[in-house]
Formats: sequence, structure tokens, C-alpha cells
Amino acid sequence: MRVALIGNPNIGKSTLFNQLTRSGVKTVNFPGSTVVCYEAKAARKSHAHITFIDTPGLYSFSPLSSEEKVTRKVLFNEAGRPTVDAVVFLMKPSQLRRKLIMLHQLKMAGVPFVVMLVKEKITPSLQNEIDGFSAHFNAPFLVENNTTTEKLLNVLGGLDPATEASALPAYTPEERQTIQQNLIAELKLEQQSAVSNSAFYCNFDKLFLHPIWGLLAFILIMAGAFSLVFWLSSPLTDFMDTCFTNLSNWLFVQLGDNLFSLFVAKGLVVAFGASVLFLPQIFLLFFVLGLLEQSGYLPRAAVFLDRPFQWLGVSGKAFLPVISGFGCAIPAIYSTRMLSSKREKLIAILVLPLMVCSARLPIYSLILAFLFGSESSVAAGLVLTGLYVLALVNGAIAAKVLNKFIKKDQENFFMMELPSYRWPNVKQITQQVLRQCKRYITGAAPMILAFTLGIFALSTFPNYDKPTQQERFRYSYLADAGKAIEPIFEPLGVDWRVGAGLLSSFVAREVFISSQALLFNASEEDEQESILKSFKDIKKLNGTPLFNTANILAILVFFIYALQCFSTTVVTARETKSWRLALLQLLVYNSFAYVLAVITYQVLSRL
Amino acid sequence: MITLDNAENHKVYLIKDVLEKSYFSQRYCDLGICPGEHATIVGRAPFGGPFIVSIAGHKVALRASEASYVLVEEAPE
Repeated sequence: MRVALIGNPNIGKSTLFNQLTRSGVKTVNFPGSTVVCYEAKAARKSHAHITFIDTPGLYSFSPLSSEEKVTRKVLFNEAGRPTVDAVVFLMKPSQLRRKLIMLHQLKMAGVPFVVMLVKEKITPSLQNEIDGFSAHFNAPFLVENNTTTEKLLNVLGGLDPATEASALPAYTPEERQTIQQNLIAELKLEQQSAVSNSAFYCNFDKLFLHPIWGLLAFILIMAGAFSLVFWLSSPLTDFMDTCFTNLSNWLFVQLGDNLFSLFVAKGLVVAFGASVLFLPQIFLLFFVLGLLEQSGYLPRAAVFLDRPFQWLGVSGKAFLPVISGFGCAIPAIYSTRMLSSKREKLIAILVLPLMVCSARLPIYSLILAFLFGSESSVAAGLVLTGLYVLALVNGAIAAKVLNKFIKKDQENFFMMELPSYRWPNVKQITQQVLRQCKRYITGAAPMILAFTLGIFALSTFPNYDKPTQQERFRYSYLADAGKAIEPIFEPLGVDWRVGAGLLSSFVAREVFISSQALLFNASEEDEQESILKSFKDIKKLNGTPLFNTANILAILVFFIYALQCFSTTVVTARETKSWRLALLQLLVYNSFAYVLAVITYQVLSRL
Repeated sequence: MITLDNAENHKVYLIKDVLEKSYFSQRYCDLGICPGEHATIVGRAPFGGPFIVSIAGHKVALRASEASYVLVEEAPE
């Protein structure tokens, strides 16, 4: 039995889905969080024959946005016939009337459905109305409470199977109005008052949409969020750095002086250490984004920004994918589906790779730690926030430029429902963030393992019998290959080891750090120091320090603009249905990044 | 009768008609903006940004251009 959960965006479909199936789908508080459908069996053994489908939000069965199209496809086939056995329709009691048409359509199509009323209290007069609805549509209406999932499973178990299904009726706007009015008359519904929401929450809207206070709140919330990430995580990062360094040294002593020991202690542990070093930061970043999403602030920010964003050729709604681009570009690209016009969607997708994604964060942190040392973490935090702002500015410039090149199609529309404010559910966010961190580790782990093996083999052979590490390295295959590519990176003021790191970061940005840690570790004779410190002390072959302010800033500039994520390119190609565009984007961002980085180094090194 | 974008703040209006009869017209009704409902403008984003309209217990944000399709009249007290 296949049961689809449907309802407006942000009504709580994913939350209910998680309760029913105990699977972990992210729940967020802005329109368009689920952009693909998830399927899972009911967690309860006795109801394991029921498969639930979590769908993207929809306002009607005649879809306007591409996410609504996804839901429509799940529910009905081309001919408009239902493809699921039942539907659970989530809505607020206050939305009941607006959903009359949809309920009517479901009834006409012969799909059994259960209405689940959520998020609002039921008054006695409302209960009368609900009873009337239930009788009219011959469908159970449940009210959300502690035993909701249990009740729902029982109701679904006892549901009559679909009667011979007929096609979903399609109505013209006039027909819809007539049907709506007939239903209202038939059900003897009274006029509803427009006044809503407590005055307390209305004040929030006044604040967030005020020309001055709203802007101030926006800046404070964003700056606060991203500075917090850095300040809270620095001590944890330092602690983990020490742990991994000690582990590496301890293992090296325990395992003895042989190739295996070298591989494990100085290869694997160092590489993994370098890649999980920034996990606390990534955890905090996703946590803060989760708080912002759940609170209901983001849609207000979208409203606030609509006017200025229109100047950039997109609506304020484009802010929502942009902010999730600070987590990861891939889901952000998917969430551009909620944007109404093709042009707007294209601009958003092409601009997204400029946002500071979670893979850039570790690299920025490392560079800031180099520039500021661990003492002045306040300054580093502020600069990091500056980098986030810079990403937004860059995005705005890129959007304005793209605006000139992409031809206008239909006007984008903005209209959307503003979800009510709510306290973020910390437990839920924590679970969701832990899953994202797990994905970060499991996603990066195989690459790091393969990369470590490769570096280790290439840097050790063919002269593996030489007594010292440095000698083995100097005449290794890797060193030979490195010298061949050195000319490309010379204008950046770095040697081939950093060059190799930059190339490796195209696999995934975060690999840059583990590859650097490995390469420096392999090429240095000294006892290994902590990863952060080794970046400071690493020397060129002629003995001068490898990194200085000029070339470290050049690397920073490179990372700000470069598109080093093949997954992004693949998803962009898929979403825009154009490989040419995706490859062009790859080429443009990277050449721009390279040129700008070269200029940065050449100018700064002459000062 | 006036259009919603010319309505006064914090006054209750009765929606008489939605003039947009194209493809987008459904979106109005889906968000509760249909004839017979009461609407009140409760706020507006700066620089001529979207209106915040309270309708039947929830809030909708819509641009002035979108609000200009909504025909309303002052609701009797």
C-alpha cells in the first residue's frame, strides 16, 4: 500500500514522515525544503506493508512550480489517474476552506484520503465545521496530538481501497470559483475573520520588515550566526589537532620504523586528522543554518530582500537557496526549483558556487589561522564573517552581470505564505546535523583513503630503500611529476606541493587540507608538528618559508572564486539541462579565480 | 471598490474578485485570496517591497503588482 503525504510547503510533512518511518529526512521551515520524494516503510512492524512517500509541498493539483510538478507526478499519471493507494493531506484547520477544491478533486478522482489537522488548536465551533467536512467527503479528519501516528496507522489500515479510480478533474478558474462557492454554501460555512496571530508575533514582522531595524536585524543575525560558528569551534579544532598529532606520533613509535608504520601513522592518521579537524565547525555551521531555517525568519528575510533582489533580476525568494548554499551547493541548486521563472532559476544556479559552502570553511579557517595565529580569534572571526559578506557581494555582482546575458522570460512572481514563527526544535536540528556530518565523513573518507595511498606510493617509490624520508621524497615519482606542473603555479608564488594540493581540491575542496598535510609531512624530515603549525613552518627547498602573506592571500582569492566541485557541475548540468552551460561555468569561474589569484600575488609581493 | 495595493493598513477588506484570470489565478486562491474572504494589510517591506496581508488566520506576502489584481471593498464593521 503506497500512501503519499501531501500539503502546503512547510506544513510538517517531513516531520510526520520521520515519525512514521523513523528515517531521517531533514525538516526545515521554509517553502521548498523537500525537492525530491522520499519513500520508506512504516516503522511499526504490524504496518510494514504501508509505504509512505514524503512529497514536496504543493498549493494545488495544477502545478506552477517545478517542485509542485514533482508531487503531481507522484500522485497522478499522465492521464490524471491516481498512482497511490491513499493520501494523507496535512493542513492547518484555518486552511480547510482553501483546500476545499483540492479535497473535492481527490474525491472526484476516487483517491481515499485522510486529513490531518496540524499546528493549531481546534475550537468547538471549528469542530462542528470539521465534522461537517468529514461527513461530506466521507473521509477521516484527524487532529494532531501525542498519539497521532498510531491513530493514523490504524485509520490507514482500515481504509477502504480505492474505488474504481477516475481521472483528476481539471477546472478553469471560473469553474473553481463556482465549485468553491457551492461547497461553502452546502457546508453552511460562516465568514472567517481576517485577524490572525498574536500581537506579539506581529511585532516581529514589524521589526524584520522595518527599513532600518530590519536591515540591522538582518546584518546582526547573519553576522552573529557566522561569527558564532568560528568562535565556538576554534578551541575544539585546536583540541582535535593536538589529539591527532599525538596519535600519529604514538603510532609511529609503537609500530616501529617500517613502511607500514609510515603509511598508517604518517599517512592515514595525518590525512584523516586533517579532514575531520574542521568537523566541529561544520557541525556548528549546519546547526546555525538549521536554527535560522526552523525559526521562520528566512521567509521574512526573503520578503525584506525582494525589492533589492529584483534589481538583480531575481525575486527575494532566491535568498533561500543562496543561504542554503552556505551549507552545500548541491541541495541549494535543487531548491532553486521553487523559483517561479526559468531565468531567475538560472541566475541563482550560476551564482550559487560563489557562496561559502561548508567545504570552503575549513580552508578559510586554516588560512585565517595562518594569518592571525590562534591568539586573535576575534579578528579571525570577523574576517570570516567578512568573507561570507563578500560571497554575497560577489553573488550580487555575478547576478547583475548574468542579468545582461540571460534573456527575459515571463515575470517572476513572488506571492507566498509566511509560516508562523516557531521555536526551533533543537533535538531535531541536532539529529539532522549529525546526519550531515556523517555524510561529510563517509563521503570524504574513501577519497582521502585513495588519495593517501596514492601520495604515499608516489612519494615513497622508487627509492623506498633510502634511509631518510626526505631523500625518498626528493627523488620520488611524485617529486618528478610535481616539477613538471610547477610553472603553472609559479605565478601564484607557491611551489608544486601547493599546486598539487590545489589540483587535488578539484576532487573536493576539503581534500586540499589533507593533501597538504600529507605532502608536507612526507617532504619534511623533522618530527611532525601539529597540522596547523606545520603550515607555518614549512620551508621551500632553499630554506625560506613557503607561505607568506602574499601567496596565502593569493590562495584565499583562488578559493573564493574557483568552482572546485565536480558534483556541482554535474547537478548544474542536470538542472539546467545544459552541459555546455555547466562546463562554461566551470571554465569561467576557474580561469577568473586563477587570474585574480595571480594578480593578488604579483601585486602584494611587490609591495 | 479599490485594488488591494491601494488599501489602507490595518483595515478589514472584503475580497470581491481576483482579476487575474490566467494560469496564475489559482495561486491566489491557493493562498486564500479568493472572493468572500476578508483581508487586512498588516505590513509592508521597505523600498516598495511586498505587502504582508493577513487572510483567514494566516499571512501571505505579495508584491504590489500582484496585489493590484485583487479587487476589494471596505468590509462593514
